[in-house]
Amino acid sequence: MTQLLNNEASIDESEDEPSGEESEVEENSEEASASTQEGKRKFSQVSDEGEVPDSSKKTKTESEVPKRIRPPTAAELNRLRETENLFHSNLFRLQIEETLKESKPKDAVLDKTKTWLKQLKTILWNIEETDPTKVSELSWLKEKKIRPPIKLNAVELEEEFAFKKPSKIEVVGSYSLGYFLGSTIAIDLAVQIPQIIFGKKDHQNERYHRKRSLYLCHIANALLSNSTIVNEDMHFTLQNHNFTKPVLVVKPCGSLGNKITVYIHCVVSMSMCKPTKLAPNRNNIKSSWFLDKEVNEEDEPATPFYNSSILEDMVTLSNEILRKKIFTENPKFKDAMSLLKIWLRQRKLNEGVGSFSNYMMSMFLVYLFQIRRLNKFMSSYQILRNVWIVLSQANWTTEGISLQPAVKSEPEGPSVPSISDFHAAFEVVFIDLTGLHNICSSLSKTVYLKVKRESALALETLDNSSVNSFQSLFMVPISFLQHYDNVIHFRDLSFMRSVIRKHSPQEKQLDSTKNVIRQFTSLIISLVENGLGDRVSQIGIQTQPAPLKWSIKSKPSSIQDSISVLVGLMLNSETAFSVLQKGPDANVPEAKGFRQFWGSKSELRRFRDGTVCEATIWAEDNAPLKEKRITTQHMLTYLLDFKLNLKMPQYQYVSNQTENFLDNNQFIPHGFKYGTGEEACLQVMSAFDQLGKQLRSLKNLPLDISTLIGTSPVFRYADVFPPLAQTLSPNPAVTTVNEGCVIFNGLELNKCTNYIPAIDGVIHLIGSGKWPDDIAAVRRIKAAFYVKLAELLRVVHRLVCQPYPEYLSVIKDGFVFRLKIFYSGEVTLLKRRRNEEDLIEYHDTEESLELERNLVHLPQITSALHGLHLKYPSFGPACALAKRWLNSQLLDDFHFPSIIAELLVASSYTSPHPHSPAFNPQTVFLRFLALLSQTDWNTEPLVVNFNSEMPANVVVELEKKFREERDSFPPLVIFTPYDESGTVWSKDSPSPVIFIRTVKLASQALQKFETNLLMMDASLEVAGLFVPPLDAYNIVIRLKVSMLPRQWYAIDAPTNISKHQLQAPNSSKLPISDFDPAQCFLKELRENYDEFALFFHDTYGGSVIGVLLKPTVLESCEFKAKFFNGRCPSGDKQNSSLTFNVDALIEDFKTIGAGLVESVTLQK
Amino acid sequence: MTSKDFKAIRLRLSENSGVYHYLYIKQNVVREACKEKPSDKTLFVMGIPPYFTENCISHLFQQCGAISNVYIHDKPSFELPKVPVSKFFERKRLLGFKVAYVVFESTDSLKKALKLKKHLTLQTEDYKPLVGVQKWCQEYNDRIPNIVELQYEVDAFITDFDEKCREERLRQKQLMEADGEGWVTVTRKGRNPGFARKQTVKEKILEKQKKKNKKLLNFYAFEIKESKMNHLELLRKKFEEDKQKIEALKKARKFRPFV
Repeated sequence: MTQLLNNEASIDESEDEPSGEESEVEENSEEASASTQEGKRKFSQVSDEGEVPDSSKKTKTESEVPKRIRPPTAAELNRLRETENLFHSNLFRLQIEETLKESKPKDAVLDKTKTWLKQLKTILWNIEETDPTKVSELSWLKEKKIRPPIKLNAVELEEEFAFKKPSKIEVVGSYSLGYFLGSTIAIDLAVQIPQIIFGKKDHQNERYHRKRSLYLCHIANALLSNSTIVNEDMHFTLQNHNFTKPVLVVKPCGSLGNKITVYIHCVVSMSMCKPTKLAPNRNNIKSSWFLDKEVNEEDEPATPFYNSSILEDMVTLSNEILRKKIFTENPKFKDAMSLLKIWLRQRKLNEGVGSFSNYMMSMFLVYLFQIRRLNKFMSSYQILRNVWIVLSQANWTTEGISLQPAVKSEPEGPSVPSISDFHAAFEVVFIDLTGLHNICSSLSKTVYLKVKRESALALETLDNSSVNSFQSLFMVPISFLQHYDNVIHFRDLSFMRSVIRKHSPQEKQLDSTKNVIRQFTSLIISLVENGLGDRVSQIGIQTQPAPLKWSIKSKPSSIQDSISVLVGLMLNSETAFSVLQKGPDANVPEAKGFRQFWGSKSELRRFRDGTVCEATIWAEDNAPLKEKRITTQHMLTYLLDFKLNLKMPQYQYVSNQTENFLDNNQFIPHGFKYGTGEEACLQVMSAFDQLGKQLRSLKNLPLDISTLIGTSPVFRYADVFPPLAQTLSPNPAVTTVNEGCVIFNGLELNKCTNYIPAIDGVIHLIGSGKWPDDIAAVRRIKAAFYVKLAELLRVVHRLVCQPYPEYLSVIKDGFVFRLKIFYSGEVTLLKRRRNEEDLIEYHDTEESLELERNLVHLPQITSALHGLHLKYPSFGPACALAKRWLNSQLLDDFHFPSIIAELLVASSYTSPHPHSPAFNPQTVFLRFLALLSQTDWNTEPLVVNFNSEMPANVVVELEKKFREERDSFPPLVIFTPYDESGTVWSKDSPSPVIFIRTVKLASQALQKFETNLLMMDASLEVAGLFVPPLDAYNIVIRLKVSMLPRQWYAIDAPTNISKHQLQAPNSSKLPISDFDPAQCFLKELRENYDEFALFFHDTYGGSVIGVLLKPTVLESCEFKAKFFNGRCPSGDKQNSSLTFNVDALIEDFKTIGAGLVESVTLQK
Repeated sequence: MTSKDFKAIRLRLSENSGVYHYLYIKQNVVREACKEKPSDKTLFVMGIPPYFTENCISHLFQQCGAISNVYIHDKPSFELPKVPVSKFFERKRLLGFKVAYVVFESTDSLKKALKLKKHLTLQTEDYKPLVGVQKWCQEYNDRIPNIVELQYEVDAFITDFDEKCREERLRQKQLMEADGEGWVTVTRKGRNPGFARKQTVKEKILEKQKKKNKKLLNFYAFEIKESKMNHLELLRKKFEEDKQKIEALKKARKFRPFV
């Protein structure tokens, strides 16, 4: 055998493999990742192109290998092995490569960039020097109207400024290191300001910053006169969102301008000032200057943030040398960095105030290389993994890291501040090469913790065998509103300013001077942390717009004022919904602090264990869940008012605006608190459980009852309007009573009775071999069973019952239950048929599928979803919202089965990536819309893997099958552990047309929800999104509102109707249940006019039916018998052609819906 | 017979309606005529709206002469409509537009009907079809069964069914006994039961036969080599599959992280 074949054999045997570890890895990819984590394994050389195969060997092999198999080339083998060892999977690797390709600009562009950059540098080098001039008299300020990015006051305008040529101009950052993000190239240009410009004390009181900004203005001015090369439309932006650190944004002229953006930063040399003066414990902003207050030199507070904003510019170039060296030595770092940047940006972690900047990330890679966690043999995937592992484990808030070589620090001794100095001054510590500067000085603790969490989540996602880990890590932008349970939206910088002036500690004001948002967010965060404690599991901040950018000729304040701040809270389900906040024991000293913090809200309470403690109470103990869910909102609103004097229209609290659409104010039994329906669901379930017990206790049945299982949405907490026990008494004008039931008396019905839904349940009998082998006989036996059961229940338990041939109706505690017996053999009997050989075969039929769906699958899925709700109590109301929205778009159960909506919602808990499960229904609802609109359903099935019951390999198999036989599947495919066919629920509906429409509606709705929820009066703005557009329909049928039993549920139902007198239900008779004329009408329309039109209606009180004619219907067709239905003869000659008879159709609608239809209008 | 033979006649739902429906009529001429639908007396009607009943049809055509029967089907049929076996079970309704066979008592009436010029009118003072809310109320009431009747019907059916089962068992028993020529039919019952006559059983048997031909795998060196090559092929195939997946994703523009 040739060497090559040996090599090939090693793929599965690995006997001749040089390194033993490698073979281990091949056998078990799980281990591969584990050992990468340890960072111990040896690394083999990675090459993306692979080695050029040795041609002589290749010819040799060809003769030995059977002809049908192409012999493997060395390159191919290398690649296959590499993938198994160094990447997650083939797919993951391909996706990485593809993404990197996409984010790399074209070579031609890069060439052009090079030449243009040279030109730009020449201009910068050749800017003429000027003599000292008063700022107010600078020509560019007067004539060209360039506004300095840092506002100058009258005194400062009188200072002098002279431009001197830069001492260095260097390209730094991603462009010089060779990694890109997207098709536009961002180039960072560091211009070193010569030392002569600065005076001795320029590091104090922002003098440095002002000069720096003037220097930038001067450069901008010079560039303005080179308009053939540089686009005149220049902007300022900020470095790390620091308002004292402007950056000039320059674009080339012409088409190149769309591809390149240059950021001109100013830096200074180390000789700018003595580094010790800028140590974190030193003061450089004098109170006298900033606050107009004389303070002793010793009492001036330290200004670490300010100091580091200067230090940053001093050390940039020396750090850059190290970074460049390491990135050039390790080409794979570039790929990894690109991916990490994408990852950060999708999470908006590298934007806005306190962000985790790309610079921090790249320096972190440098750090990891230095401590040998990374090496040059690692693939980009392994680098990512290691970065995430270290990030998720490290804690820079207490154990900061340092790039400074350890040996050096000693001889220099006191000149370098100690790490504890840094920790005292900064929230997060990552010390640079020089040991002077904290790279993470601007990073806020909140964002840092979020990065840590996201890293841990990223690792989890990688280990999750789900195919889409790549997508959710890199391709999905993360919406803030979908990510957090509650979002608070602050806008209007002016009131933030006033809040800070009053409430921010003075040393902070001094340190962050112009950085209002920075102070404001830290105020809010500390309020949240202190006030809500462990009720909140994660906090997020986002500033909009990010990045800030304004034209060089406009006032910096114009854009700064438009900044808004979003604070997101992820709730801790275990504590967040408790209406009581227990404080310290009344006698201990902490009690005073508690009282001070909460003010008048705090009260003394005696607890069950006998202690007397301070406590705050936010709702009544028996409040419905809807109220309890917003406890955190109550607390925070109170605190914002009490502590910062902020009141509602000054900020928006996005939490439960959409829940208004689940309100049911009409028929609430006296004293019952409805909320969003969970309590009503519980009532139904407890009645049902009771009924189950009573059924099981029955004796003298031919077969005993083993269990009773509910199948209606109410058992999954997912009913939009769960049934309520007390109902209106029947309308005596139109009803009468026969033996056991209320029935209609035959008079014309002009006002519909109240809607009483029937709640479905399935009875399981103990197994028996005595069932007949014939479907008709089984049905009769079941009917006999219903009759028998009714009789027994009536006698033994005094329940009101009515047997029907197909089911049994029982009233229990004011609810109407409809019970069906399940016999497993029935499905088989329905499937059975004889084939041409007279052999028995089993085939799915419509009937068997329906029976299986309702009596086999539905109970299973109901119990799974019920369990899900118990774990994540936002599930039920989120489903209700989703269904309410679908119905409001006239997509009822017929078009979009409600169980599918429920499964879509469920998947946001079973596979929440890139989020974590949410505890606020509205958030889940937004995710539902996002899932619906942002998934490519053509290539992806939905996998709802309850409790991960399906092993990974099964899921992979299912997905593979799905891809291979895509055409044989319906548009939406849902795999669950109970349904590996993926089609049980979605086989017939939604149809492709309806599904496309739903997706489109969802994407529009999502967009509007996300903008409207942040508006001033969110609940009003949102209301419009639950109103259906009617212009798409050919015919609109309006129904008489008085005939709709569910009229009170309608979105547009008047809210001020007088409350109906509630009476105890007449429980001696079965009331008129499950009777809704609108549903009868729809059913008749759909059954009879299926071939011509689609009908759309809102089940919950909709008074409109939209009719969409099928496009082919309106075409004129030949005079043929198969086209006679619904058409009339047309054309000149007799019997020549047929056209559709729309008028007759409209008359048919009126006839069929006599008594219900108000009007039928034909639309264009 | 072609579609051209049909004649379209107009129909109004009520006296003061301005809208015309169209029915398509012709004489019922078919090769395999059903004796209840004699071609010389039967009018074949197509395009009947869904809510029309037999009564409506006879009401429309009684102006042409006495009608002995009206049969409604969902599509043309040589047979008579099925009479429901039970009042409670397996009741099927006809959905959508329908066809009808109107059997007149005399041939003249048929001729008259075929010559109809004037439009027909359904609703006169004495006749109204049951539709709308009233119909649904009626249906609701009808759904509630009389328990005694239901019980009676079920009992009757079960007795009947038991009887049939007994007869079947008896028949099978007789089959098992040797007939005149000594042949015995094998059934699933008895001392020596046969296979169940099922497709699955047949497949299982075939499967077993296949298994019998099993060989030792990877015994010879060339076989081992081959299996390795197969493994390689598998890896390649997987790689190709993944590539295709990527292609599909690429087409869906999945690799632009930011648009």
